[in-house]
Order: sequence, then C-alpha cells, then structure tokens
Amino acid sequence: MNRMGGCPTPGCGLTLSQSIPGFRFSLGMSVSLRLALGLVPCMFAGSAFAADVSVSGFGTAGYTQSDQSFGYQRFIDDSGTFKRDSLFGLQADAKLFHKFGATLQLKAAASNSSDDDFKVTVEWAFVSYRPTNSWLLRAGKLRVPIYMNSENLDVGVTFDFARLPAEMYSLTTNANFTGLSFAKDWGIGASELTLDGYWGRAKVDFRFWLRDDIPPVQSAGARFERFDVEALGLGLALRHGESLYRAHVSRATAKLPSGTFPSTFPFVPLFPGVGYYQTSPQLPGPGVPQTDSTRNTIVILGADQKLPAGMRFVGEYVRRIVQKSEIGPDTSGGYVSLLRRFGTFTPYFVYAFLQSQAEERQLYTAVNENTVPSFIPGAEQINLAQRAGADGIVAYDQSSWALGASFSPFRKSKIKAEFQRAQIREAPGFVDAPSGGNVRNQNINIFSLSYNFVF
Amino acid sequence: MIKTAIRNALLALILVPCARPASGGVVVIGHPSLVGKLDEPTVQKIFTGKVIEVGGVSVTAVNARLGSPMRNQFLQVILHQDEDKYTAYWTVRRYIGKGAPPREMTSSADIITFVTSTPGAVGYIDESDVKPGLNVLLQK
Repeated sequence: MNRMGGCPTPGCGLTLSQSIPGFRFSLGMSVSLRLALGLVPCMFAGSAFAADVSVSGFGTAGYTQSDQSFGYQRFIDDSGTFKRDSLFGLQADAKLFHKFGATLQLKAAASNSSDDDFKVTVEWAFVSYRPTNSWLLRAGKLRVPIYMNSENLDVGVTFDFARLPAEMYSLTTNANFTGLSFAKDWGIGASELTLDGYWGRAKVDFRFWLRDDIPPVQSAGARFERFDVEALGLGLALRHGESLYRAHVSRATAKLPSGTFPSTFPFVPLFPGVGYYQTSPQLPGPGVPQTDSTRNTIVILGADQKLPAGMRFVGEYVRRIVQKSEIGPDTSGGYVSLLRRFGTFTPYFVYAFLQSQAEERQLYTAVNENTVPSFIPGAEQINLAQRAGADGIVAYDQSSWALGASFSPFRKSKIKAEFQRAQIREAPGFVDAPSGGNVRNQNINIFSLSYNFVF
Repeated sequence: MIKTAIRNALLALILVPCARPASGGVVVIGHPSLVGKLDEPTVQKIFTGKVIEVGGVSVTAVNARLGSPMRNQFLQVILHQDEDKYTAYWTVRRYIGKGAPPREMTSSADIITFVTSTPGAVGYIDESDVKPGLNVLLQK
C-alpha cells in the first residue's frame, strides 16, 4: 500500500529516537514484537544451541539520479540520492532443535514513516517448525511471498535488476506481517509444487504527497497515514528446473484506526457547466462519503522461464481490486523482462506498467483539473481544496522501460547499473509534483548505480 | 564476524595451495543412526535443505570447507552444480527465511569426527579417507 519505493514497515508502537543535527536515527519496534524479540535471544542463549546460530548480513550502497527537479519514488531527483536504494541488514538464523528454528532480521534503511529518517527496524522475528520434509510452519513477524521477490527484495544480490520494478513492488503490502504461515511441498517427477498460505496483521504507513500549502489546513509535503492491515492469502508455485511459475491471491482489509477517510468526492453543481467536487466536509454540499476501511483483493501471476542460449524471461502481473473506496489504488500492473547471462555479466531489459482503473483515473483528472471562476465567493479556497482532494486520490498511470546490467566480480556481490525512462501519463503515481503544478505526460530519465553484497 | 571472515580468508589463502586434491570418488557418510543407503536425489535434497528427515531420523548436513577440492568434487558429482550456483541458491534460501546452509568443516577428519558423534549427521569425504566402521550412505 505504499506509494513510494521499498516496503512499508509496520510496527512503531515503541520508538526510541535520537536526534543528530540534520538527521534522525531511530530504532523502532512494535509492542507486539517485543515478546518475540525477547524470546529469540532466550532461545539462542543455551550453550547447546550456540553452535547452530548462523549470522549473516546484506547491504546495498545505491546512488540514483534523475533529470527532473521534482521527486520520484520519494527521493529520486536531479540532485541525486543514496536514500532510495541504500540499506544494510543483519540476519541470525538459529537451529534450535532439529525441527525448530528461529530467524531474526534487522534492517537499516530510509524510514517508511518519514522522509527524513534513517531507521533500524526489525523486519523478521519468527520461529519455524518443520514437522516433516514437506511442511514448513512459521509464526511471528515475517514477510509473506506475495510477489516473486517479496521475501528477498531487500537483498540485491539475489536478483539482477538494479531495482525491482516499482510498478509491481512498491504498491501492495510488502509489509512484514505478524501472524502465521505455512508451506507444503509436493514432488511431481522432476518438478516441485508448493502451496503456501498466510494470515497476519501489520501496521502499514501510506504516504501521500500534498502539493500545496493551505494554511492552516495543510502543509505541502509528505504526509503519512498509518493503516491497520489484516490479510490472508494463498499461493501456488511450480518449480521445474530453473523455471518457476506462480499464482497468488490475497484478501486484505486496511483500516484507519484514527478515524475515517473519504470514499469518493461528490460533484456539487453551482450552475450549468460550473461546480466543484466536495473534497472536504467544510465545503458546502451533500457531504463527503466516508469509510473507515477498504477491502482489497490482490491476484498475482508470475513466471521465471529459462530460455535457450542463456536467456531468461521474468514477468509478473498484479490486479488489485479495491472495494469500499473510489479513491484507492484499484490498479493493474506488472512487468516483463528479458535477461541474458554472459558468465558474471547479465544485461537485461525491463518494461513495466501501472494503471489505475478508468473510474479512478477519470475522478482524479476531473477533481485535479476542476476550477471555479474567481467571481464565486471563496473560489481560491475551493480551487485549492480541489487540488488537495486530487492529492488524496491514489491514481496511477505510468509505464517505464529500463536497460541495465549486473556484474558479479565476486561470488557474494553484484554491481548494477541501469538507465530507466519512466513515462508519466494522466496521474502522478510515484511523483512528488511541485507546489502549484502538475506532472503529467512527462518522461523521467533515471540513472542508477549500486553495489550489493552479502556476507 | 568480520574478524572471523578475514581469518577464514587468510586461512583459505594459506591452505588452498597446500590442499590435497580429491584423489578418488566422493563418499557420503552418515551417523550409524541412519540405516541403509541413500540415493543421489535424497543426498541432493539434504544438502539443499529440502530434506531434514530420513527414515524418521532428523538429519544435519555438514559441508567441506569452501573452495576445497572435496567440496568442489561433491558439488560437481552429486549436486551437479558449481560453487557459484550453490552459494547463490543458499543466499536466496536464507533470505526467503528458509534456513541457513550446512555448517562447514575444515578437514575430512573433522567431518568424520562430527558425523560419527552426532546423531543424524551426514557429510562427505574422499574415498581415500574412508576407514573401517564408517557408515557409507552413497559412493560415487
């Protein structure tokens, strides 16, 4: 549900923060996690288990720059940034008994609840149980395999793309849920079929970009709303050799614990051809329909197909159906890519797209472009309210293509470089449009360079 | 951790030129609690974390040291892959939360000691290191 890049990180009920001039660094963890965190060191503590704890780490030092002055995916603009892709993580895997294990993963990266912070978060804290070879049960805080690379998306060494396509990976909950999951494997000849399922809860920070200052109602800039998300899903994956095919369905309810939010904006006619959308209860009109939650159904299909001559096709498609709201991310998205391996060098091409359904795009365009003439009393405020309302509509209409390559100088590292051109059409999507302006029908050229490693 | 990695790297640099090349076939050995022979697909699954239990006995795999001739031969002959592929496999598996790769042992003697003293343990050695009384599960 995060409009920007990366995965939303739930769980900040208890936050320790230390301010450094110009920068804040904080360690956050949810109250519900403290129990799990308390348990894991206890489980590691016995000397009988000490030899079975394996500690590893991963990281990315990534620089990205675009040719535009406005922000894209939160941090990318023409001044360049390390914040979009850089991160560092540590993971401890403990084999407690033969069939029980525990995993703890910490990650330091740009915060998902603030554009200014760099935050250390507990990404995973779960115990696992394998009663037989074919069953895996897990409980705790974990990331579920919604997408092909959901679980390993922070570990750049595990894929060749400089950045997993935002059109696919930056929207639906890649959050780490606190809950339960299972996986069951079947061997079918040389193939392996896996059914996995999960249920869990997460706190997900959703980022809105407000273009305009409207004193005293709102300040321009990023605004984060925290949603309580409860989700469950089922996935089926078939692996044959080096090829993988998968399908996944999730149902999620996203609730705003702090109150309600608009589900649509009704049009208020003033006289023929002139009117406004009631984007605020303070504007005269029939009232703004409100809801306290949305129901989302997510259907995903994916394939990673080995091709002749060292080539690979990787593609995923997602359809997100949002109920109870006409301003939510009701979208279709996906990507197709072709990769060719030459030893340690793997060039690739990716095409990705993300588009809201016609109703959402039309509502966005109508609200964003609507103005009332200046002779109408309060016209300036009404027109600002139209733009503010448009900023609250989660609408996407963009595609991108990227040409890049990864190079593995060593077994556990990858250097990646990519040129991407994103084409923004009617809706801004991942763009932080400038105050008083719009970004549409515009290209953004993005160059990315990163060093990715595990140890 | 970093100190350990540096130390291991230095040790590897010192040891690799002196390492005895794998002279014969690969022999997969196991603790006496593992009864009967294993087929190649089962051994492959043990060393890729897909099998954790054989005949009701929980198994613990141990690998030879990274870069050792024995390990390279085992990967080639039994797992039919190279070190790059095997490392990449375990990197993904670890970071999708499905466990860590088998522990590594520096010598055949260490592997034999561990396997013979740990119920359910499975390792591999060069056939020239096989001693009477070892539980041989697979030989190639």
